[in-house]
Amino acid sequence: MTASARSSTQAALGHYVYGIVEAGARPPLVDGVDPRHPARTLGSGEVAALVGDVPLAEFGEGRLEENLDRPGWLEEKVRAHEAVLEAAQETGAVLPFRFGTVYLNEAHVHEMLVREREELAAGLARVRGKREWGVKGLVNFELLAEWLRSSEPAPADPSEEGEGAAYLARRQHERRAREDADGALLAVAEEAHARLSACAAEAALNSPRRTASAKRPRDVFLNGAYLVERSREAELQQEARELFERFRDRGIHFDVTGPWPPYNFVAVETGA
Amino acid sequence: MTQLDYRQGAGGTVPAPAPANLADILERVLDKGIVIAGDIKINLLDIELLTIKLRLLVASVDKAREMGIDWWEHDPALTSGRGRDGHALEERLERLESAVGVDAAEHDRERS
Repeated sequence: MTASARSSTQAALGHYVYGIVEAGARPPLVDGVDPRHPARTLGSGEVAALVGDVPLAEFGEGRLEENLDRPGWLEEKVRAHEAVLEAAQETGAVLPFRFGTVYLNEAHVHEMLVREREELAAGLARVRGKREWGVKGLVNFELLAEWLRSSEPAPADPSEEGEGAAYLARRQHERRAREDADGALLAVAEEAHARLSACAAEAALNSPRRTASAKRPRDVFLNGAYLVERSREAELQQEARELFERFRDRGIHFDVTGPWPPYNFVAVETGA
Repeated sequence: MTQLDYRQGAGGTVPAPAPANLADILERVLDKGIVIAGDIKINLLDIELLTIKLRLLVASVDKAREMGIDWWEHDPALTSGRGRDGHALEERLERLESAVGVDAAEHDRERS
């Protein structure tokens, strides 16, 4: 790239879409993915896009993918994306876009709004007055195994058996303990999800993923998202608290996060 | 965003708001939300890789920062030669995981 081509790329701006809000919504005042360009709304009928200008030198074709490989950059931008949507949710319904949607000109944003208008309006109606809460169930397997051991009879005394038989018995006992732990966790996950869902307008189960560091192993066995009416949020929190109280002696606990914009309750893919 | 943490406190039952961790944010911002193609394309496979990469990073980043290590800014596996196929992805993941000390047993348990 020549020097002059590079400088013109740096000056050029794209339009980063954070999400969809109701037409007439006030854009939030927090810093966006580019702090020099506050978020604004681009409206069309009943829905508006929450957009912020971004330099194409950072977010343009090729550049965006390069920057995704820089964890420091990505963390900053991802947090800004979230902050804008959280602030927008304070004043009305929001449909979050996934990170990294950039248009080259405003006309394309308007075309998208026109093309997707019905879906987006329905999406806003679906989440209006509700916010997303996340509940993770985490287990310390060692503590759970200990609890299971303490609540069942001890295995037969191995001294009365041969060495080989003792080994097999031990292996069998270990395998049963693992199966017991898995079964116990499954039952807890099902009950917890059912109780939490009862407080929610909608619920979604995501795959449990590793969040543990090597130092402090904690396995996620439940990763639920709940779309909750504001008036019922205390109910959901109370339910999570009760679950925690009931299962804490088994090495199980529950982490509640929120309120989130309703990431888990928007159509994942729409239109073109 | 806050996290209600029931593990803290003498009574253990009073929710104490704390900043939600980066992993929770990434899980939503990179994986969820409306996907409408803009004018700039992002490879979906890369999003998957990023989420895993950042998750691993999150697990080790605090410690690394304490020690003043910023290896991820310089490690070629993290900053260049983006894999486009499944094989390259696997290879990169293995390198990443060994770099942050995720042991094989944990990996196996997650997959099983």
